[in-house]
Amino acid sequence: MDRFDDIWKNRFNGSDKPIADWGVPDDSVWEGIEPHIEEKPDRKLLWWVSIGVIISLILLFSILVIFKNGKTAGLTSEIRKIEGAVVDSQLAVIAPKENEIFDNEVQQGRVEEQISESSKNTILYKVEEPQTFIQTNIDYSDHTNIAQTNMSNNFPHTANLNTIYKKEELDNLKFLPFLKLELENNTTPSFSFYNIENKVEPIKLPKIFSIGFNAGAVYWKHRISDQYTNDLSPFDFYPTDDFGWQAAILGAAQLGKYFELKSGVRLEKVKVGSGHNSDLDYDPTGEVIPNTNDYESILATPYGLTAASFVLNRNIDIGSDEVALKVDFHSNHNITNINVPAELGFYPFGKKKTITPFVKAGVGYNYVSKISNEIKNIDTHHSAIVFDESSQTFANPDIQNSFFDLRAGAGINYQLTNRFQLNLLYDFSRGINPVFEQDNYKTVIDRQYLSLELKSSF
Amino acid sequence: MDGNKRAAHLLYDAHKNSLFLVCLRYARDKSQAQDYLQESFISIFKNLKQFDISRGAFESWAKRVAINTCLMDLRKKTLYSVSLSEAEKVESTADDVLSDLSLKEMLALIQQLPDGYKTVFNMYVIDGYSHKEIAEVLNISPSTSKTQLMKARLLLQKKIVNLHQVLNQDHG
Repeated sequence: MDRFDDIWKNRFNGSDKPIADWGVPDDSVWEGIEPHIEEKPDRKLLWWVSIGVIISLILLFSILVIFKNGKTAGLTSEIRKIEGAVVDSQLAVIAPKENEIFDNEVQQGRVEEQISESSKNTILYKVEEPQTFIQTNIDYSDHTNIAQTNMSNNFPHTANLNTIYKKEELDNLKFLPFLKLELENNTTPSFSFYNIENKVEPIKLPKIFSIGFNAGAVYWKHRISDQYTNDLSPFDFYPTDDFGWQAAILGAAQLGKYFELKSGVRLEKVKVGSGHNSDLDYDPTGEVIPNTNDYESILATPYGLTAASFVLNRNIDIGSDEVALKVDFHSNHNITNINVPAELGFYPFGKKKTITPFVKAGVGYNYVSKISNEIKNIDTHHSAIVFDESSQTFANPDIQNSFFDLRAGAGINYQLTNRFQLNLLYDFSRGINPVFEQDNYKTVIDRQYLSLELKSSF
Repeated sequence: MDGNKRAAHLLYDAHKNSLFLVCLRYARDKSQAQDYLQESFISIFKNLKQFDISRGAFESWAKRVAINTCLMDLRKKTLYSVSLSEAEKVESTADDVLSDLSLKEMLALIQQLPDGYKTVFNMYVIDGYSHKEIAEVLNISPSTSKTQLMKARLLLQKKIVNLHQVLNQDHG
């Protein structure tokens, strides 16, 4: 075949190609090209700019809310920075403010009323076990002695460093800022009970970090380019959007009362379908194996055109003439996707002990590890010719494994215990870049999630 | 015409004929080849930034774009299947006759081939793709590519011999 091939190759690739009328395109070709030459705005750039604007707006909004919150809530916002502390309307925790001398020294008392305006930085305070608290003396060998003071009646309380106080170690309670050790001079330091402006709210202060497990349903929806659907319309191509399941391991960080940052890893498994019709000939004289014709074909899927091979069996005699079939292909596509979301949650009413609504927004990275195709059925519309299910091969599509998405959602948070929270969530995710792209043929994935989430704070 | 369009038109004029010949080989007729050429140049202008001069001449790159454009369309149109059990019984080669054919006649022979044969023949024999590359691009197995090529060659030889016989009868 060498000479035969060489003649073809040399004639068509040679430099002496004669150009006659038949080898010159009409002027109308250029007229069709010209309108496409104007530079269009880069769509990818627009996407990134949009993402940047959204993130900037979220950050700006967060800063504004935090700033406003910090200004009006005063010490309350400081309290929330203290990990593990417990405050309610009846109970206050008394401890030196982040004071190295009094590590582990905490005591409980009851907040009863606020002192007058002139003493704004004090609260009315009653120790739960005043006698024990005051009268027990323990030697602090490595600390300065503190003067004992009757704390049950006189406000604001003061203490000097010459008296030894009992060391009360209460589990899970750490330092709160409304007791300040004022070391104005070396001999008479005093405690001041700061006014917390009646904002000792009936909440358990949230712990900052939490981990959780999320599981539920995911709805996988294809957004296919018009060009692709138009070109496949003669074949009655249809994609099927469908539900699957998803499970995720998540980590979250509470940012004050209103915000939460969340990320994690999610596994999604979905089976979607597609199909189209096609012309096919059955040739009884071409049966290599009796009653069987083998085929290789290109089938359309939402993820591109992909090669398949299959067998049609003839179950009765149909003579020797070739039969023209109009067959319907139905295929399944099994998808495994790993999703890494990064979200900012917003609790418009603050995160509370009871049921709290929230909204969230963010971005997600997706790695589609696998899409495996299978021919579900071939309907030949001919009683004598049937699809042999066991004989098929259907190549996996050539996809772009990585894609990003923008996501938003809403949910309800329920504080089960001080430690555990249960969330009911609905999320919508819109794909940014396609999972399949070949020139103007594109498929982008949008998803919806409905899930339950159990979180444990620490 | 602004600067961009003028530059584009110069580029088009310089390469339209060579790329048109590529499109003619993959197309059924001139009209389809013109559609391919139009799509090819739109794609070339759209992806001009991707052209890397260090990786080869512009003409080679543009030719690849044109071939890909043709293949895109051919792949859409080959959703129908070809029974593998069809065996062509074709007569032996007629290389000498082929040498006497004009480029236009040779092109007409290629255009008469079924899409599958034509695509593999063009890619392998004229455009220098390997069977492995053809298999990847067309989503077929390398053995299918080889089979299609063999059938294309046999069919072409048959057509050349037939053409030769017709010409001889005319002259006789």
